[in-house]
Formats: sequence, structure tokens, C-alpha cells
Amino acid sequence: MNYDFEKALIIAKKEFADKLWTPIFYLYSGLSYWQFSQSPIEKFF
Amino acid sequence: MIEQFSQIGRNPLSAVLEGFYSTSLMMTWFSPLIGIALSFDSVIKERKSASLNVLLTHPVFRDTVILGKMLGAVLLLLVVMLVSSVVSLGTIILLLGAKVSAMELSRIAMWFVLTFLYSLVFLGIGLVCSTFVREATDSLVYNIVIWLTLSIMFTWIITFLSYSLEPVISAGSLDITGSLSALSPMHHYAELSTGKTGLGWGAGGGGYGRENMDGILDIRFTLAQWLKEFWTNLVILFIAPLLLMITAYLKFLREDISA
Repeated sequence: MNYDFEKALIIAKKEFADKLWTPIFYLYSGLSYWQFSQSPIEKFF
Repeated sequence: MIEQFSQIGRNPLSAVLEGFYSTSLMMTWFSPLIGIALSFDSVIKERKSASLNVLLTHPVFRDTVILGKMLGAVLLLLVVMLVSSVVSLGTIILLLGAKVSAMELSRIAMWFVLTFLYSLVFLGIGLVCSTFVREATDSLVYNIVIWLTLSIMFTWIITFLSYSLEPVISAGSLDITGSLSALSPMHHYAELSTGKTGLGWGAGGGGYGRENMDGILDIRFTLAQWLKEFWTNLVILFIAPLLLMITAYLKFLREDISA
């Protein structure tokens, strides 16, 4: 089979950029939860 | 077998590695979710938006498209895992103020590879679902069910089976629950990283430092001893994502691309 790695890399770059929001959202949710767990309000739950 | 091994340190886990022991528990539950999130709609999205049709009218082979998609998702997963591991290490060092030795660093590097492979299995599952299933929401639901079954609820399922199959097990010499455990990537990751048979719900968090080896983070044992004890788990963690990606690749090559 004939692989065209340059084109594969272009598609890979697009996929990378498209999905980048996902881990950023994860990080944001994680940090928000951590901040919430540190705050006194968490004790009420 | 372990009793014969020489012990190179007195404490099973150093302070820094103890931090990573806790991180392992967290990673067992949540790193699969990152793998799934990065792959569950990879092919579906392109098919639905009809951009796959446009893409394939260009002089691009189908295998190039799926290879590019896999490469992009795997690279992003690698970056995410690297960032979270470095953040964990940084936080542990900041909190403890401890120095990290070269040996500890090598163990952490190995631990990182294991965690990456573990989440790669779920990225593979997501890719396979994405090529077989037509709707993104269906694919996400299937993936979440697989994640809950294989990672979170697996310890419960195995415990339930071991109780219900107890007469069968005690009657013969078959280790049914042991064989069933091998189905879950969580079991292999748990053995490799912490030496426990499972880290799912109900497995319990603490409890290390007995005569058994506590996985890659246990500094009483050398890497060779660790490899000798857990090489089968390592082979499975290497082969599983590879097989899943080959399945997704072959399915994509034969797929009808119309939405």
C-alpha cells in the first residue's frame, strides 16, 4: 500500500487542532472542581 | 516467586512515588475518559458533515485519512498525558519539597508509559466504535458503558461472579475469576502500576507495603524483577490498542462513506 505521510500529517494536524478543546475543557472542569473542593461552601454538601 | 527476589530498598514507596500511587488510582478511573473523548466521533463527525465525501474526492487514499485521524488523536493524547504527569510531579515536589532521584524519575517515566498505553486502549475502543456506529451520541453512550463496565464496575462484577460461581470454582481447579479479570485493561494497568489485581469501585484505595510487589512504583524491586512478574500484563497493554486500531483501520477501508 502506498502511504502519503505528508497528507496524513496534514489530517493529523487538523484532528489535533479540532480536538484540542476537549482536554482544555477537562482541565478547566478539574480546576473548577478542585477550587470548589477547597472552598468552605463545599462543607455544606 | 516474589519471596526469592532480593530487596533493594526497605520502604516499598518513596514519598514522591507514594504521590504517584494515588495518581494511579485517579488515572485508572478517568484517563480512559480522555481517550474516549478524543476518538468517539472521529469518523462519524466527518461522515455526518459530509466533509469525508469532499475529502475523498481529492487525491487522498482512504488509509491516509484514517492514519491521519489516528495520528492526530494519539499525539494529542500523548500531550495531554505528558502535561498531566508533569503537573502531578510538579505539585508533589512543591508540596513535599522532596528531591527526585534518577531512579524515581525512571520509575515515573515508566509509569507514564503505562498510563498512556492504558488510555490508548480506550482511544482504540472509541475509534472502533466511531467506524462501526452511525450516530455520535450512540457511539458516546456505547463508549461510556464500556468504560463503566471495564474500569469502574469491573471489580464489582468480578466479586459478584466469584461469589455466584463459588461452587463451580471450589469444585474444580478452574480460576474463572482470574481469567475474567484478564478481559479488563484496568486489571492489567492496576497490576503493572500498583501490583493490585484491580482498582475499580470497591477495590479499596490503600494497602501497600506487604511482601508482594506494588507494581512499577515499588522501589524494593528492580525493573527486571518487575518485568519478570508482570510481563504478560505489559504485552497485553501493548497489543490491545494495536489490535483495536487495526480493526478501525480495516473497517474504515471497507466502509460506505455516504451518511
